[in-house]
Amino acid sequence: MTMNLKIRNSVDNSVISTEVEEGDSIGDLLLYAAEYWSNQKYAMVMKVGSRLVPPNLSVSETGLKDGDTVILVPDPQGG
Amino acid sequence: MERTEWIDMDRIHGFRVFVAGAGALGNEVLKDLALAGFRDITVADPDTVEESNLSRCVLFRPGHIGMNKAAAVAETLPELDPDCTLTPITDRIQNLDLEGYDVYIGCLDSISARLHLNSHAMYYRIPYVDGATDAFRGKVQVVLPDGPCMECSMNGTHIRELHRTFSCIPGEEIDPVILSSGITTSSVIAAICVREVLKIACGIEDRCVRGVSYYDGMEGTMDIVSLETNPRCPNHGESV
Repeated sequence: MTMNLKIRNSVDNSVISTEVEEGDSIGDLLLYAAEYWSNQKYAMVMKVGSRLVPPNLSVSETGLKDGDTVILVPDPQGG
Repeated sequence: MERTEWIDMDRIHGFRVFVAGAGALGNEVLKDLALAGFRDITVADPDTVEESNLSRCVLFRPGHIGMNKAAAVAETLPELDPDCTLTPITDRIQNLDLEGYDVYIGCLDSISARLHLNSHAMYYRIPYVDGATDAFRGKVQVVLPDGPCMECSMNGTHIRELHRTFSCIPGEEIDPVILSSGITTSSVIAAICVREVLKIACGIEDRCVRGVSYYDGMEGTMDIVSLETNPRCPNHGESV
């Protein structure tokens, strides 16, 4: 079963919409978003509400529903 | 400090702290540790001090240029507390025996080094407080032996950047997000790291930040994001 999700990039607040299968993983979604915003070359994590979503969970396992928005957040790695 | 109910200075004085990295963040962490009363600190960093480090590293002096960073901070940290013993190690953490510490603090600049320290923390059951920064953003994650670890949330974008160095010195590539670390961001993140270490040292690790704290210096926000143990993480599943 497919659903539509919105992905918001927290760096510039731009939003894309994408159609996903319930069995697609969050990791797949992350890589799709990273490829779309390919000018941003750093590690990122995905947030749903106030929760970081493990990458190997499926979209359905995270409880996401059609029309929900997930947020892409840069994951700093410098020191 | 002693007037704070849960602060136990005897425990803080004797707590064995290992700091990985003596760059911009490491300098701030070491300063805060010494001022908070920690007296048994080991710091490891294989890099040497460059002139551009001086503007954001409180413990480096012009005379340290060309000197190993860990050795340099060992010279100046006792100015803050003469009773503080700082043991410098000039090698990479990948070459070290990391047993025998009460806490690790990560002030590193690569994902591979963080994963190395994280796996040792989980193996030896040593609490690990990791700080990370870019220009105006930062994060702090507290990894406790029975909770989620750094690897639990890592994904393909981390693998892609696994061996990249996110140096505190600006490189040729200018990106507004991963621009060289600013001193204000380093100060904020270091302060949170040391506050979490204080809680662990004083036996109130149950009050440590759960999940990951993300700091956005431009928006002036701190967002605490929950994180679950990932059953498929190699540090947690049945294979451990």
